Amino acid sequence: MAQGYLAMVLHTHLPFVRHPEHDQFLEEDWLYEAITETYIPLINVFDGLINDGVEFRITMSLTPTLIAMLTDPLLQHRYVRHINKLIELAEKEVERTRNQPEFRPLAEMYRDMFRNARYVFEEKYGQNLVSAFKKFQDLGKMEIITCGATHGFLPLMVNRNAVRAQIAVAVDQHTRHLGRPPKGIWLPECGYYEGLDELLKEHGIRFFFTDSHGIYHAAPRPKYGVFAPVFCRSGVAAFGRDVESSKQVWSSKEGYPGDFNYREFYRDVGFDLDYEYIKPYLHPDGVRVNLGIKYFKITGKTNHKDPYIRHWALERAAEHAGNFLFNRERQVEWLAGIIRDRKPVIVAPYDAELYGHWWFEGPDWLNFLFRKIAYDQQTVKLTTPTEYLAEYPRCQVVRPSQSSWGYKGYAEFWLNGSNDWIYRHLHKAADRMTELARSFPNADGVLRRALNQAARELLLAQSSDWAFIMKTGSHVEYAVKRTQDHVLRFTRLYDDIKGNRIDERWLGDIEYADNIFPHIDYSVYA
Amino acid sequence: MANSSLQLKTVAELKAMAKKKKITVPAGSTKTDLIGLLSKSNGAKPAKTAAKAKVKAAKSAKPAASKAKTAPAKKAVKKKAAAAKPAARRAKPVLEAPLKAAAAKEPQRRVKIPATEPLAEQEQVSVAKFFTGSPEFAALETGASLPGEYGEERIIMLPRDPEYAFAYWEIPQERIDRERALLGHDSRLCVRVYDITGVHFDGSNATAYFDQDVYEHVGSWYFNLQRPGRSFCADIGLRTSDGRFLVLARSNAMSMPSGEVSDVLDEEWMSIEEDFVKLYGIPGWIAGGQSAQSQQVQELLRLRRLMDISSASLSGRSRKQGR
Repeated sequence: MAQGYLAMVLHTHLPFVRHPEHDQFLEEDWLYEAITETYIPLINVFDGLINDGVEFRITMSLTPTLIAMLTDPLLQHRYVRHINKLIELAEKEVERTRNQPEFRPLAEMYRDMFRNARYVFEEKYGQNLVSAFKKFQDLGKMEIITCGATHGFLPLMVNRNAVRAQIAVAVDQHTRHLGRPPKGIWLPECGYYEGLDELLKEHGIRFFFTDSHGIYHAAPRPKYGVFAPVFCRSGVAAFGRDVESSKQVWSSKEGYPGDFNYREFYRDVGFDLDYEYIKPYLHPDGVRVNLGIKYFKITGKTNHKDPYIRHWALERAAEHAGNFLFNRERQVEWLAGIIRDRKPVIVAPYDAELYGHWWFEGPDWLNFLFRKIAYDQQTVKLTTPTEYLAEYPRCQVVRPSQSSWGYKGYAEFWLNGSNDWIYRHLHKAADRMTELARSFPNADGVLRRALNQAARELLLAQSSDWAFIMKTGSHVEYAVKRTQDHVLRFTRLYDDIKGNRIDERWLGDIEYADNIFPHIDYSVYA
Repeated sequence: MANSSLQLKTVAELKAMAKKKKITVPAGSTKTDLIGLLSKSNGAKPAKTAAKAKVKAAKSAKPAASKAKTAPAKKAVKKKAAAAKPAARRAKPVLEAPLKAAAAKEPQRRVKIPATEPLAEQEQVSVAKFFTGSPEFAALETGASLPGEYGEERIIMLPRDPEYAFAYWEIPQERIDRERALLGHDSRLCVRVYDITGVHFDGSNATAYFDQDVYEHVGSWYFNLQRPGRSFCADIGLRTSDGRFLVLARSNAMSMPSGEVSDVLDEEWMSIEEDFVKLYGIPGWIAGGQSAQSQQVQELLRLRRLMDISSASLSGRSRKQGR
């Protein structure tokens, strides 16, 4: 009989990037790469576990922006185009490397991986990967939770209706695509502040996650730390992140992904190969980009890189899975000696894109881990928050602390000299949206369309990703432009609506471009 | 500038100088403090005690990068790779691949290393999510820009972390001029920050406050409050030479994160069993009871789950066939 639980949580998110006005658009690659390297490999792992009858539980957030992109016909079509080109390149690579025994098997691996991705995407799941995750949900293996509608960082939003809209729109869209309302939420960047739980409760959400210090700094002091959920006064539960299990996977120094046998992320044929040869697979402007075929392993701390050897890497992934499980068993045994009236739960959340995209062997590691948990031991059992709360509905009542899981634990990553200028505009737009929603209740026709589009533009401007990118320094221009464009579109709609002069053709254009949340109802801002 | 000439200046002038030099002045600094800060800055680098210093740290990394740009291309790549080392999990290798042949007619655009200062592991992963290897597409068309001001009276406070809060404000210049004509032209624009912990703030009942002179009618400031867990509110207004204060706008109330483990050890426990039972659609007759019947509830939950599974997988199958 298990002495404690492990709740693995994968936060799956990309901002809404869709540019029908361009035939190809660099930033759309974020989605295509994540599909090929993370989403499909993870789906394959879960399908494999189910086919083999391996019992498992996992929690995944699918953010509303990601759901919107994964179910968008234009992006689906473009992904097929993208993967077809990659397959063509990989086939050429198999041919080119025929006399290079160290690279040939790798070229074949990529060719097979891309062919499999196309099969899973097109044939198995009819171009709609959300249906794959829904299947795992309906089989009872996966708890799917939601997130802020566009991943807006809620503690910096000020306008309560703007926060409410992030939640309401998310819950509505989630329910439409997954067939049931979400019971939990991954707060964008784990950004929590006191009182947010009340809004979650309004929308039927029963639990959220915080970083460790969100619980450790709660008042009164939580008796069981992060190893049992707590309730806010509203009755909404908070699960805190476990530091130890986090580090082992996230950290480059103490963690697994930095192992020298694993694949090197920064070494890509998009940069390594002869320009004329690779050019047809780059974007039309001919600038080198990552293409996703990477032949080298991390090797060491220098720039010298040796060819990647797949079976060595897989062996390491298996060892690392064993190590992770061993540590969780010891952790659970230790906790069970302290926590007497319930089984402890270890909450281990990660960005889903860590698995496969950043850490190429991540999905294999997860696969080994889940199989080992099922067959190699009896101390630790996988669970989901809902299952845990059903077993232990009685929790301590505390006030979790304002916190995020970002750098330094609070809001600084999204509020610093590189990006603090955006809040003036975001707050103004949010207040104006509230004003519009109150001035025009029950609008219909073109006015209703304009009001709904204004809400979409505001939401899109609020994505925390833009502030994040401004801070990190790559694709800054794009992030700035996205923020500006959406605020400007919002502002023009605001002026047009107030001046009773809506330009229907222009409205049609931006409805087509920013087509997220077709069922949005602006009155959520009233 | 010699200390003696600094001594001649007024506090306001010193503050203005500090601002020009991008030295952030901690709230409540005396003239001596200011002179100290300014004379130090004449030496090597600005003092890093104050709020904005940290923020600026990110920027200070940039000059180095731009210097690299002027160096020969190959060197620049190497330099950048080296610069990336602390930031990136693995250094981006220079392009010396055995596979690589010389590239002709290739559009050269520099690859920006995705971080200007060391990042925590987690941020590295997110950076990788957005890392395409290429900086951007061709320069995006620049259209209209956002307004510099909205023509309103407004101040907003945001908590950055347990110590620091950020405030931005906007007051139309005409309003300031108009009020100054009435209050006296030497009245100063300032942000008054109130500690309103535990009170229902009415403008006069704050437990403490301090003033920070500001110089722009549209501006922002990082306040080093150093009072974790407490609540604040700010006014922007004009302070006259005789100490009167005219409020031009009042901010939202804001609470700082506590940043520490609570001393309060009281325990209160709550059960939301009934809510969960509702959540699973379990009939009231069985949910009514307490833990004595939890066995029954568990059993029902199990059944319920089984029902969910079978109905869901059925509908899943039919949808598949429909395709």
